[in-house]
Amino acid sequence: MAVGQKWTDAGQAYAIDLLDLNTRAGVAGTYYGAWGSGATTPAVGDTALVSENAEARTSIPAGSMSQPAADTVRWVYTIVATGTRTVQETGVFSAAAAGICHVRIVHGSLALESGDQVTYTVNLRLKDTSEA
Amino acid sequence: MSQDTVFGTAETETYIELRKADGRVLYFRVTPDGVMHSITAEDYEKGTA
Repeated sequence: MAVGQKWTDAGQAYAIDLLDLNTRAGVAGTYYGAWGSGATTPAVGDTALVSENAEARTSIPAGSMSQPAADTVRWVYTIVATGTRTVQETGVFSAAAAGICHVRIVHGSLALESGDQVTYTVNLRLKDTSEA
Repeated sequence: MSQDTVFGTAETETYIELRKADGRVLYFRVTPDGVMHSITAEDYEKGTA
C-alpha cells in the first residue's frame, strides 16, 4: 500500500470555476464524503475511489464545513460501517454518486466491524511556494 | 502582456476518529505524506478545533 493525499485535477478545475465570474453560478454546491478499500497511490488524475465501499456517501452540509485558517477549507463527515469493512481510502465528492472527486486520501488500513464509525476531518490548505 | 502566476501547492491533512461498536475510541492524524499516526484524544481535539 502506498499512502498519500491529493487535491485532484478535477478539484483544482472546480476551484478555478469558482474564481471565474463566468462559470461560478454553474458550480455544484454540494459535498459528500465516501470511503473505500483501495490502496492505490493517490494521483492528481484520480476521478473516483479505487474501490468504494457499499455504504452510501455522507452529505456534508455547510454546517460541517469551516475554515480553520484563512487558507484552509475543512470538510467533516461520518460514515458508519454496515458490515465488516476494510477502509484505507476516503474522498470528498460533489454528488451522492459519481460527481467530481475533489480529494482522495489513502491512509493506514482500518479493519472495521458492523456498527463501527469513522469521522473524517479533512483539511485542504492552499499555499504559495514561499510558505512552509 | 500576459503573466502566468504559479499558484503554489496544496496540502491535505486529515484527522480520523474511529468509534468502535464496543465503545472504544481511537484517534489518528494522517499527515500530508499520507502516513497515519495514532494520537491522543487531546491532540485530536486540538487538531480539529
